[in-house]
Amino acid sequence: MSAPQEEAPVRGMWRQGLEVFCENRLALVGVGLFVLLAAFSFLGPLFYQTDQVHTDLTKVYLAPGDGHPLGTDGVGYDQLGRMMLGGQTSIVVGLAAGLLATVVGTVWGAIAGFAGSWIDAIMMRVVDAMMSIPALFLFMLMASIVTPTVPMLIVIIGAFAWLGPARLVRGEALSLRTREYVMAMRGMGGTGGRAVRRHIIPNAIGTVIVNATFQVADAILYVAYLSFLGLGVPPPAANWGGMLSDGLSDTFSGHWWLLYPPGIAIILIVLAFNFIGDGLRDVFEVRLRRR
Amino acid sequence: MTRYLLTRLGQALVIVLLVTLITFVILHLLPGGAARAILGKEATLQQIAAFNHEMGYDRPLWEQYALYLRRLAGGDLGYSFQLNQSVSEAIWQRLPKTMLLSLGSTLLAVVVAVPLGVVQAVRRNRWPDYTINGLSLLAYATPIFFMGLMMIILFSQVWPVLPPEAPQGFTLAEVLADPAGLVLPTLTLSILTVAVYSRYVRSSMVDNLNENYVRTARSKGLSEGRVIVGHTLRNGLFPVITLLGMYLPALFSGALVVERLFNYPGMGLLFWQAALKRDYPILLGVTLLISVATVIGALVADVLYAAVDPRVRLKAGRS
Amino acid sequence: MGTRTRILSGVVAIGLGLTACSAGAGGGSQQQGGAQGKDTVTVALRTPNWILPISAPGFTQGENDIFSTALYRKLYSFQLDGTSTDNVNATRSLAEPPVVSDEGKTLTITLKDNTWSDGKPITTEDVEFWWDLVTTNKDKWASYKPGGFPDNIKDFKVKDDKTFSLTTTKAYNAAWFVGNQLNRIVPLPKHAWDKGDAKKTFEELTAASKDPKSYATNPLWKTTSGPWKLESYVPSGEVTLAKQEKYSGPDKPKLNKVTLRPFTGDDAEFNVLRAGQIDYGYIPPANLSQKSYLESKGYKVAPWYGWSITYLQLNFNNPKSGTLFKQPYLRQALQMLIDQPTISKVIWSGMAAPTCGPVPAKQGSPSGQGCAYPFDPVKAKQLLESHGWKVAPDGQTTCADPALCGEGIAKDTPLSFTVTSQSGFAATTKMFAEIKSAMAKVGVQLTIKEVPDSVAVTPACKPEESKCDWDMSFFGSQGSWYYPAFASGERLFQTDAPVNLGSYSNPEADKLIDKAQFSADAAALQEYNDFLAKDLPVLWMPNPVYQVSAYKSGLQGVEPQDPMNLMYFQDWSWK
Repeated sequence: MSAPQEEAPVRGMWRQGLEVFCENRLALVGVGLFVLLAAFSFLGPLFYQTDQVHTDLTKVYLAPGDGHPLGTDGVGYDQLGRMMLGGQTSIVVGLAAGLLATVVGTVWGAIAGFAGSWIDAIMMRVVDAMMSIPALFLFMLMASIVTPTVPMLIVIIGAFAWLGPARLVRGEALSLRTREYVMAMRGMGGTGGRAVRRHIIPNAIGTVIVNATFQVADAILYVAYLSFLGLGVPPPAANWGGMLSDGLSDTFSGHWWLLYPPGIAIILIVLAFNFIGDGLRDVFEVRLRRR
Repeated sequence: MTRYLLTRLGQALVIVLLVTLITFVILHLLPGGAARAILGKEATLQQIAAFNHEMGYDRPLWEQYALYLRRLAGGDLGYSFQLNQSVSEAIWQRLPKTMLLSLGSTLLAVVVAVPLGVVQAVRRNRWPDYTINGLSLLAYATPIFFMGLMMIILFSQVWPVLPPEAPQGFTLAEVLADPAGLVLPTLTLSILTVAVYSRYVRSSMVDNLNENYVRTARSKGLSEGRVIVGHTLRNGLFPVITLLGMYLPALFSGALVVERLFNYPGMGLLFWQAALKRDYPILLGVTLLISVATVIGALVADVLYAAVDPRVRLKAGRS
Repeated sequence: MGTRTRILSGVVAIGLGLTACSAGAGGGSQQQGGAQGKDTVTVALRTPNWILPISAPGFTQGENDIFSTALYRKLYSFQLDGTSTDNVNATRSLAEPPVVSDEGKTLTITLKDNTWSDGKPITTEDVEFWWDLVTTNKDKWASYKPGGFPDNIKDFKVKDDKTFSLTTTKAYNAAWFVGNQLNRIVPLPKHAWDKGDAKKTFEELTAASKDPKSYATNPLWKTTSGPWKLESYVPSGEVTLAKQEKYSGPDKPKLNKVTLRPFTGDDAEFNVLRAGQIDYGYIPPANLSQKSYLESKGYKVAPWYGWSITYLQLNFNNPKSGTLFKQPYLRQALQMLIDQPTISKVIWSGMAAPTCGPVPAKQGSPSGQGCAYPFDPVKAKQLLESHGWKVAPDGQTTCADPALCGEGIAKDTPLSFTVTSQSGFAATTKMFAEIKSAMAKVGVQLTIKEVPDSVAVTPACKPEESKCDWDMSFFGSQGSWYYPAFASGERLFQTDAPVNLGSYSNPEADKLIDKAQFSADAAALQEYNDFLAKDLPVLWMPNPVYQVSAYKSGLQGVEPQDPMNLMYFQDWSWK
């Protein structure tokens, strides 16, 4: 995010922002959590090597113990190694799809909200129509047309998740454009494009950032729901959501190690993104307050 | 205001038409026709052709669409081959149950979320804010099926006070006769909603507390309570109104998962089963109904929004 | 059962487990299966939605067959225990076994003395009425295949009230003809249903059948021949059958009432089963570990073996992979990479057994030993190498010597396939994870694509069609194919057969299939089985049981469960 006020001393703003961010201890916890989980998923396999390609039917459902700190699953994969592999997919899909959705949605919503009149009408009708079809329904349909792979999941989720941010940003733009400074600018003969660039987008940023954290988190959750509905990434690929929904049927048999680790991992990563988002929002709020 | 209403109504109709078109096209793009899914692997080409003819699937897409719209105009949602039942009948059998679940959980959620959000905004960055924020984040971060499972474990096993399954009755009366069974599904569905709503209420209230007019009000010496209730709350609730409207599809998605989890024989389950069996008429019917509900929701939300914020009304009325 | 919605199976199961401690309260009165003086039974079964014994396309689900058989007796019932001629069950059938004459072309059938529920006798007129209905409306009959029954009947002749004969266009193997063609005949009450014109009558009957609300009230369905009468019917809800007092058959119902209760999914069913509130239900695959718990609650757990086989369909007409599949050595190598016994034991919890050939193995026989190509990755690797493939374990095996690889296979062709499998079955997903891993070890790359209805997206096709791009298809999470009494392959493996989705074609197989169908040679079926077991028209896969039934131990007569998936409630009784 580039600093919106070109006049302001950019370095100072960043430093100040960082200070505010650091004041929010939860935000720091969020960053810490994210770094930890990412390191676990991406660096973990360097230190803890397991075979996540070949099944071993002689070692199914082993309880945590020697050689398998988190036990094994129904086809003999080491659960700890699988958690690392699953984390990679979950983090990558979450970040990519969340960003895709946020960028598309923000641009769409800001343009619609500021342009107003018939452009707004058309753009928002498209959003309304797509939004009134439940997301899971659309995901299910898309996922049954194409084979769910990691890039495909990103595109599918990104293609439908931008509607939320679009509508929010548009609403924000709609109320912002009537605020004093934009009105004043127009009164002074400022152009529409300039108003969008200089005021609406920067001002909507608070909303966008709160939403972006939700988007990343949502994308990770959506992958889980898709797996739950039977449309996850096929083996031997894994993601925390898929592992969690697989684990549901195993709990009853007492295989708790297949349920709780992925469940807790998902909660932690989603929490991490939300904490970070909260911290970032404080940063922007302070800036708004100072203006 | 009348003009604004008319404009919005017109828009709503356009959206519904768009929805029928989008879903219709997507459904018919699916690989493997409905015929094979229904008639099974033994079906002969003749039987498939006969089925497609009977259901009108052998006509050009636009013709099918036109036919669908015409029947729709007459109130006919079609006939589900798999259920040997008309779509409207199948939906009416289940709709009240889903309504009960959704309305119940939303009502509960709003009643809980608004005060929570206000408390958070007012006590910003103090312990009530942190606690509530932490809890609602935790709720939000938990996949709803995992949450439901935890509820079942907690309230059915550890402390066995509630049944782990929703009422299985076929009529609303039968369902209502077993209120205990409704507690867990409603609670599960509403917890997520509370998390989302309270966050928005807080965020919106915080924004408004920083507005000029609030500062003016404060500087005029109005008490903090009056500032909050009299000025900020009203404006701060705008996003909640929009959210109510646009949250409907999400609510239905949630209901889909919750109904599967608790075996609640509502629309979500009907839809899920239809999706597996390529039961086009049911899929179209349910989607249409949900989208109409959402459009109406959005319409009501916008009208309310306009009612509380005249600037929006004036602007939109002119366009 | 076909609910296909087992994804969540485990979830509520957990819930169930939890209620376990408190469940006694709910189902307490009938603990331990005791049922002194009880004369009703509650059965978990999806709501039947077709009552007319002439099934319409799309309404051939098992529950409809069970429902209509309870109301309308078939001309012939079958048993597969090998004790009777042509597998005919003499007690239940409405007619004596057919007498064959005219070099096997004419079958003369004599009806036994039976009556309709209104007291009128069941005569050849009622058979003729059925005959007229299906011949004039065969395009609306699910069992009709062009060239098949009734097209293959030259002459249908009524001799008298009790005797009629069928003359076929050519001589058939009697066992085949009785088991796979005559099994469709259901005498219908002409005096109650006939409107004079077969087309018009059929239309009216179909219309009435499309109105489930009126099933229990429409007078049409009051005249029946079966051991049960319909007492109440709720669309998509419960169905109650009551004992037919005027039933003329020897297998009189012992119970007064049978309630068929549908469930929204496996988990719901299992929940109620655990609470002891139904007398007969099933254990969803994901909950098999609960077997002993149910047994301790007074249920008897009985795997229901189906007269079925399970296989992985190969698309011989795929322009790319079809060329590969046409090489017998390659099919053999692939088959050797499927560890059927271990998959059955570990992944299916023992509730599946290896399929070795097209004819189902006898129930409970320890099969898997007799398979032509047992699991043997080393041999598979050698086989590929000896045919010019450069095997790259965990890499990509490619063709190094096109002369050895076979016709149409270019140098550097990779061994890489996509399997279209079923979503929603945990065991199936695990099974393919295992097969993928085993194949990867010899460099055969398998990509798994899961869809809700794999059958629908992998149709039989011509090489030039775009829908012919699928390589392998699996739809056997509950068995790929259920046979009628005579397990011959004219529907599955004959060139251009209706369910030959992979377009397998082998003249030798065609000959043997014909022989099993047309010659009186009893060994023909075995010969056919032995040939196809080796030729691999498909890859054989573990065959899961139809369902794992659980019933109150006080209930008698449930077993043996009919391998052809019918249920005869009249045999059931309480101890």
